[in-house]
Amino acid sequence: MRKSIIHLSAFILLFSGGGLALSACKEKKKTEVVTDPMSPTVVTPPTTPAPVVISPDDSLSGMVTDATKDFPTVKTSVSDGVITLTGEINKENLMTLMQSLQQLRPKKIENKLTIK
Amino acid sequence: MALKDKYNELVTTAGTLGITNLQVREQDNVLYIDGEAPTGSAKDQLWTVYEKLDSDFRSADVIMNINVSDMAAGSKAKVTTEKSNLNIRKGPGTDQPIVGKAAHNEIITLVSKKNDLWWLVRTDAGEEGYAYAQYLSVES
Repeated sequence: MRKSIIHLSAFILLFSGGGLALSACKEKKKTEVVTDPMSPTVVTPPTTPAPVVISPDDSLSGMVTDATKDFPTVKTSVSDGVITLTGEINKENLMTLMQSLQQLRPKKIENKLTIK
Repeated sequence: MALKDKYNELVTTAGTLGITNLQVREQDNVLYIDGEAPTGSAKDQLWTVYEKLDSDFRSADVIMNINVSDMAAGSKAKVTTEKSNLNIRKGPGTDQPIVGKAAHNEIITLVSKKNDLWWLVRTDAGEEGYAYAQYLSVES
C-alpha cells in the first residue's frame, strides 16, 4: 500500500512537472514570435532633428548693425552667436527690434535694455 | 519646466495660423522656432502671442525666425516704417550708399529677393535699389 502511494506521488510529480515544462515551452514560443526576424513588425528609427544653424559672429555683427541702424539708443555686442542689447528703447519699438534680430539666426539674445 | 511646455501656446498658434515648414527645436536651453507665415498679419499675430508669454523679451530662451511667404517678385509692397522714409541703397547693407528713398506708406514694387533681410525694389518714380525687408508689407 505504501509503495503504491509513493508511485502515485511520483506519477503526480512527473505529471505536474511535465505540465510546467509544457507551459515553459509555450512561454518560450511566445517570446520567439515577438523576436522573429521574419515578423512584419515595422521598426521606425528615432528621428533626430537637424541641428540649429547659428550665424557666425562676423556675418552676425554686420547684420545686427543693419537691423539696429534705426535704433540709435540701442547698443549691441556679438560674441559666440549671442547678441547682447544694452541702452534703451521705447516699448512700442521693442517687438520690431526683436523681430529683426531673431531673424538673423543668433544663438540667443540677452535683452538688457531699459524699456521706456 | 521644459521650454516646449512654456511656449506651448506659441507652437499651437503657429499650427493654427498655417505656418509652413514649421520647425520647433530645443537646443542649449533655447527654443528655436522656424517657419513661413502665409501673410504678414499671421506673423504679427504669432509675435503677439510670443509677447504675451515673455512680455519684455527678456527670457533669452526663444529665437523665432518666421519669414513671410507672400513676398514674391513682382508684388506691390507698402513701406511700413514707423514714420520715416525708407532708404533704398546701392547694395544689400546699411554700409551701402543711399540711391533713393521711399516715403512712409508709399507703395513700391518688389523686384527680386536678395536674402531674408534685403529685397531689390523699385519705386513708381523709377528709383531702384535694395531695401530692408522688415519695413515692407505686401498689400493683400
